Amino acid sequence: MQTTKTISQHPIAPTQVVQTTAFVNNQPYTIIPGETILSFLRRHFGNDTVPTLCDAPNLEPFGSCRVCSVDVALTANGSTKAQASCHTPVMAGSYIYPDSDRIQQLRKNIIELVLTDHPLDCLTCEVNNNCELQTVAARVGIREVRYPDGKNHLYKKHEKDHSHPYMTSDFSKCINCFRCVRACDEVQGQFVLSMAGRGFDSHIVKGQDVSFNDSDCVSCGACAQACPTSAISDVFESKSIVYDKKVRTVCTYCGVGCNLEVAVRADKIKSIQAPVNAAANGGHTCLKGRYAFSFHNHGDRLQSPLIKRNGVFETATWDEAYEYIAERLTQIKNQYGPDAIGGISSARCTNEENYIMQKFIRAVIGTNNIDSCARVCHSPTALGMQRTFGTGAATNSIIDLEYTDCIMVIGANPTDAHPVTGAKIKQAALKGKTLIIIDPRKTELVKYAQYHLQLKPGTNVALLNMMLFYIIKEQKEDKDFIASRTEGYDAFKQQMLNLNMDEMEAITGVPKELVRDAAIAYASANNAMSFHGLGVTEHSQGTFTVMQIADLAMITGNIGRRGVGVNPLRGQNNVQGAADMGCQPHQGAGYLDVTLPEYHKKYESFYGVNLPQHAGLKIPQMYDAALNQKFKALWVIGEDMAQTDPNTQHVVKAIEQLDLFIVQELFMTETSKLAHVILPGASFLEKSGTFTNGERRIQRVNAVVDPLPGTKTDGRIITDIMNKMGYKQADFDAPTLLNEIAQIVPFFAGVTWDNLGENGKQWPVLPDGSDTEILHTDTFKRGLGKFIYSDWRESDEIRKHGKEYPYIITTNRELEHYNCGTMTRRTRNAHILTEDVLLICAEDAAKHFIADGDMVCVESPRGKVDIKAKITDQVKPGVLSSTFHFPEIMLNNITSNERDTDAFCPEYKVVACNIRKSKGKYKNQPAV
Amino acid sequence: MPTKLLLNNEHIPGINTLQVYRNNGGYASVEKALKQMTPEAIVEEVKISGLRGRGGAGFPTGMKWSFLAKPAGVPRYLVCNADESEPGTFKDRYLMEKIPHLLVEGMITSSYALGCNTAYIYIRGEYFYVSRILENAIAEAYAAGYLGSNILGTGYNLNLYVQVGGGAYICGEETALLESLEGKRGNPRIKPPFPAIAGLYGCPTVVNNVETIAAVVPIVNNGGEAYSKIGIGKSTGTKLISASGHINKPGVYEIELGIPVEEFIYSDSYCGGIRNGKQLKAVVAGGSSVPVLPTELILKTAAGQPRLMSYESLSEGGFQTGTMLGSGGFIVMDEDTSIVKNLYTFTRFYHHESCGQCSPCREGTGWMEKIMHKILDGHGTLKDVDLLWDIQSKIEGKTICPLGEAAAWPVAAAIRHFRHEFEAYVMQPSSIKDVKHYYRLNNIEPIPA
Ligand SMILES: Cc1cc2nc3c(=O)[nH]c(=O)nc-3n(C[C@H](O)[C@H](O)[C@H](O)COP(=O)(O)O)c2cc1C
Ligand code: SF4
Ligand code: SF4
Ligand code: SF4
Ligand code: FES
Repeated sequence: MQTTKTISQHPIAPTQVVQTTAFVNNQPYTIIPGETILSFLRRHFGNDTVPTLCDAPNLEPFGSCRVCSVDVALTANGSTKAQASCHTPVMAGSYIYPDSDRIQQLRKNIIELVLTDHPLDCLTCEVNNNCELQTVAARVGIREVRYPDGKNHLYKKHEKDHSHPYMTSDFSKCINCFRCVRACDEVQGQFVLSMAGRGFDSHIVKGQDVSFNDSDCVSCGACAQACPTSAISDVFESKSIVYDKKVRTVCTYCGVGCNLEVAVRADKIKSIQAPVNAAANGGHTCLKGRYAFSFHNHGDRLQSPLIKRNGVFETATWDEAYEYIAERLTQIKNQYGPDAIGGISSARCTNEENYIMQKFIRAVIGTNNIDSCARVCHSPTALGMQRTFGTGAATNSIIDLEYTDCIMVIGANPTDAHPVTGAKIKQAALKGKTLIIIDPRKTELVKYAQYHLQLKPGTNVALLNMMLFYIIKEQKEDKDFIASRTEGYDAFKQQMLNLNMDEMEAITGVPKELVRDAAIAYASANNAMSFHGLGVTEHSQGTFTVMQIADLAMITGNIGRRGVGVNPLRGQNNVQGAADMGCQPHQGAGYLDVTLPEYHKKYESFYGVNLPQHAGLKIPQMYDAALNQKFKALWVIGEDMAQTDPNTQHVVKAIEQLDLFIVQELFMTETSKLAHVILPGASFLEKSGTFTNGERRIQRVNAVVDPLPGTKTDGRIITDIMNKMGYKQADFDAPTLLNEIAQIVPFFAGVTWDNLGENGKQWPVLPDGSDTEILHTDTFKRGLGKFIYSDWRESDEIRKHGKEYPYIITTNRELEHYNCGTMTRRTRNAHILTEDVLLICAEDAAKHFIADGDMVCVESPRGKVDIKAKITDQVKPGVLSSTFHFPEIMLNNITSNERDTDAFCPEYKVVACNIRKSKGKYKNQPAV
Repeated sequence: MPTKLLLNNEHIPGINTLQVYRNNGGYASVEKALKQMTPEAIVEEVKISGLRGRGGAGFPTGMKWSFLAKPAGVPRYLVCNADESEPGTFKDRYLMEKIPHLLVEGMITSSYALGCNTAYIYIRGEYFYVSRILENAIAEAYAAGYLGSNILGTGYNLNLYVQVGGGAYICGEETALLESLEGKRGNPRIKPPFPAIAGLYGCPTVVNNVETIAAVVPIVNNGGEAYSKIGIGKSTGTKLISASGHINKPGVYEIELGIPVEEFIYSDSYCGGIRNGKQLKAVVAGGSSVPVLPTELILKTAAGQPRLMSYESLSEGGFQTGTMLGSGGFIVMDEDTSIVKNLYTFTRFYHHESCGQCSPCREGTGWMEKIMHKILDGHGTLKDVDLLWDIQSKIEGKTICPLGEAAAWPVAAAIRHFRHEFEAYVMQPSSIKDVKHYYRLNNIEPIPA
């Protein structure tokens, strides 16, 4: 990749450059002011002009190896001085001699010195033939080493480290280039690695000189990727693996949409690295993307369709399964009508698969009962932002973090759930940008934040109203923006000013002065951007909260330019896409309202069939309808509702009422156990298509290997059944389907498989193929942005049960695992994080005589679970928190039926409960 | 009577207390600067004085001060470099120990001139007891209203802190010092940006040596003009010299720049001649980093002129026949001294003190010591002497900070001027089995393991 590096520590603009050329071997070449000599030379002569060792494309210049030195003179053939090209700014009018004899000798001498201290066992070294030191040594022409004893002085002192499930080290191979230290500091921000000792004795240590396993390492692999030798590597030998091909694809684990480069040998996936030129992740990933791929051919993968007969699953051929399904669906449709059938598509699947699923349900079954798992995460975001702005998607891009001055993170824990974005936010905060965290938990980012508003769960609306109040009261609003771009402000302002801050303070539990300071910091920043996650949406007032976040952006004019905006952090990899593709009961592909005649007609003519004109059922409504015997058949792709949907017993009961329950899955899950038919789908590594990440970036997913024998891609399965049921749908092929999508989804108009290229495009993509980094630059989608006031309302959960169940438990995620862990538990991630725990503060623990590690019985009005206590200061008294990555705990036995009033997203984040030290009774009690 | 500007009151009992110090004219520069002068006027006086940095490089202080960036709303810092770790140099310690208020006074006056409201004295870790002396002086100055807010009722605020270093020579290098002061590992920074633009915590910063800052006091009191008249040519004022080695009167001397080296070595006002009536063999004139010179070149330049104690005269002839004034660590060696052994000590020091950041210095200092060790052990060859020469030439000018050069120069000079001694070492018959016997024979002390 070609990166132009400038000296970024320079806080003051370089003095005006008059001349714009410098000379290389006495020939003039243009310079870009502020660029380094190295990037100047690389720009003109290609990446290999100057050998380097300590320089790396995604790291700041460092200057430790000095191999990149070039001769620089002030006049033609004048007296020269050796300058390290990687960090020295190119001076206009200077004369550069990159390969003078002197310089060649110098480079040779440096490499020779480095080699004296290097075990020369190349032939057996992991990175043999793939080692930057070897390459540079060969290039500078080292023939002999003149120094007396070649024994490596670190050989004995540092044994190889194989303690960690993924990371390895062998510091006898270290050349002290600091790349790993800088990767850990500058890319991940974990500060695990450092250089200990001085001079000749310098050596890398992890933490306080402990093993990888005992250190604070989060296994992001940035150091291993950065290390030019085998000194730090990983168990997959990712850097040096011998491969037949490398396939670029997109990670499936979260909405960041990291690009991955997958090495394949003999049709086996060997390792994954992060391409440095990826717009979404620039050479970085977290351990899920980089290392958690071994689930894909795990022995537990389902490899044949299964049909349940007399209560037991029997293997079936695909034809048998299709036959069975088509027959049963037709029968149910004839008997109860199409609205007795529904589908739940998956935000894990590609756009093409989501599109085809909703088309199947709408055009073949004839109902709008299509929803997706986005319902249980970001449906309030889509709805809330649509109400305020007209578009339910991130207004800006991740790159805007470089331009912003203030970052507000609300109800999100990006360093665990969106690790690459989390790392970028951390880096921004470390560089001195204001960071405001609104969260009931002390998340990792809180350590780097100026303001932490640690509110009581369920009081988001009250807290954001306080912020809006202070901005209005202190007249920090952007009056021009409000006047020209919004409506409804006056009434909004009046209602806001009527609020009583003392009351709000009591409700939220956050001192009003602190709220005021944070609000003023947000409002006074030149550019402020907000990020929010499920801590906003998974509440009874989720949609309102999203609207308030949008209000905050509008009232301060933080919309429509670089470094601002409202940016939901999408949970699953394709939450954005699932909604874009129409997996919603009221909107079809491209968000067109299926109940409006014009759009209804449009869809009818596009699909060539008659379509229903009334909105369908949302997921929770499907359960309710099933319990009322009105809903008979459900087709689910890749969702484990029995573990992840709230109030497990309720869900299970509803599913048990169904006449036909079809599940497409990779593994036998709590949900698939309940199915009548299980169809073995394919993982993201086995399919092609597109994912749309949280910043609306449509990216190409490329099949790395073929689907496991006996499995099919999810899109192919749906296409097969469509044809089986008499609808002529062409064979499933991503580029072809993408063309179809581009014709119906307005903001995909200019998208083709080929023009997406390596880094994809951010929608809206205009017919000419140009894409959009920032939305709402001139007007909102809906014209004027709309201020809508909403009052805080106590959740029914607390209102009904708060007295009897005085604690609030909220749910969260851990870095190592993905949602219910179906995939990540089948990788070595399970060796790193082994169980769900209950976060509880010391005061509450003491009150109930609970010690760290004790089992605690958590009881809610729905049920009980036993879970191990972890005493921490992450939560305040009265608040508990836990995860549901492991089926042993089944935390959703206790979560409630409460949901967002408007978008029906379940309220995972506020559950009334009580605790006591466990008698061990409810341990390991699965739902089924 | 030699002119003294810094140590003139050193023998007055109780001069380390604020009261005695003030009774003898102390803190006059603060009164004068804050009440009668603008910051710009002080910078101007320092420029006129011709004062050059006393930390080693001799960079004109007035010019350094005028480079300090002054963006609005960004704090500026003055940092005093009291890390003094160069072998042979102990003048800063002497000054701080004897007259701590002189440094405190200089810090206040200089901070005012630079527009700093926070200043630091970064002091060598081994000088912990001196740090207590400074802390006491600072506490007295706070109590007397010379520090803190609204100093002398002028509205000027200054807080002065002492930070004790962790015991690394490299932390005397100004950017490593700033890293260390920020609480990080003391690795030098790559430049640009220079501290005057982005120094401590990324803010504009001036780093000056203890003696430099002390010299600001007489400059403000008497005017830059008066200061510039002392000394010779561009070497104005007085300089503290730490004299050590085989001389009769080792110690710290304040000299007027420009006196002959010969006078400094042999006069009873200074070193008092060579100990035990021996002959002079060589001098390291400015701390361990500067080139060693043999008698004939230290007393006279190659052109036959008397060598003077000044920046220009000492460096006359370049590194071929000259050396540097450096930090003023004046190490005298008599005829019995082994240059080879002396160099081994120096290489050991630099090996130990290289921060290890950049490869030429990290590996080079390591190998120079190893090869010196080999030579001293009687296993060296002529090739090793050439290799030493080669390594040093590949370090100089090719590293992040000047420590690499500081390690290379002594090696280059020792071989340049005393190659015959190295040859004598390595030309010993290689059949020597009994190394101890060989040591005795050649009057070599065994090398510590
Ligand atoms: C390795 C190394 C060590 C240094 N040690 C010191 C020191 O101990 N004291 C000092 O004043 N300057 C030392 N310097 C010089 C400083 O970097 C800096 O030039 C000096 O503090 C500037 O002050 P001045 O202009 O007043 O001389 C050292 C430089 C290097 C490269
Ligand atoms: S894997 Fe990541 S967190 Fe761990 S040491 Fe390497 S860079 Fe740091
Ligand atoms: S471990 Fe690798 S990246 Fe780190 S300093 Fe050593 S060689 Fe460089
Ligand atoms: S020259 Fe030596 S001391 Fe200076 S930065 Fe390089 S390794 Fe460190
Ligand atoms: S690449 Fe420039 S110093 Fe290492």
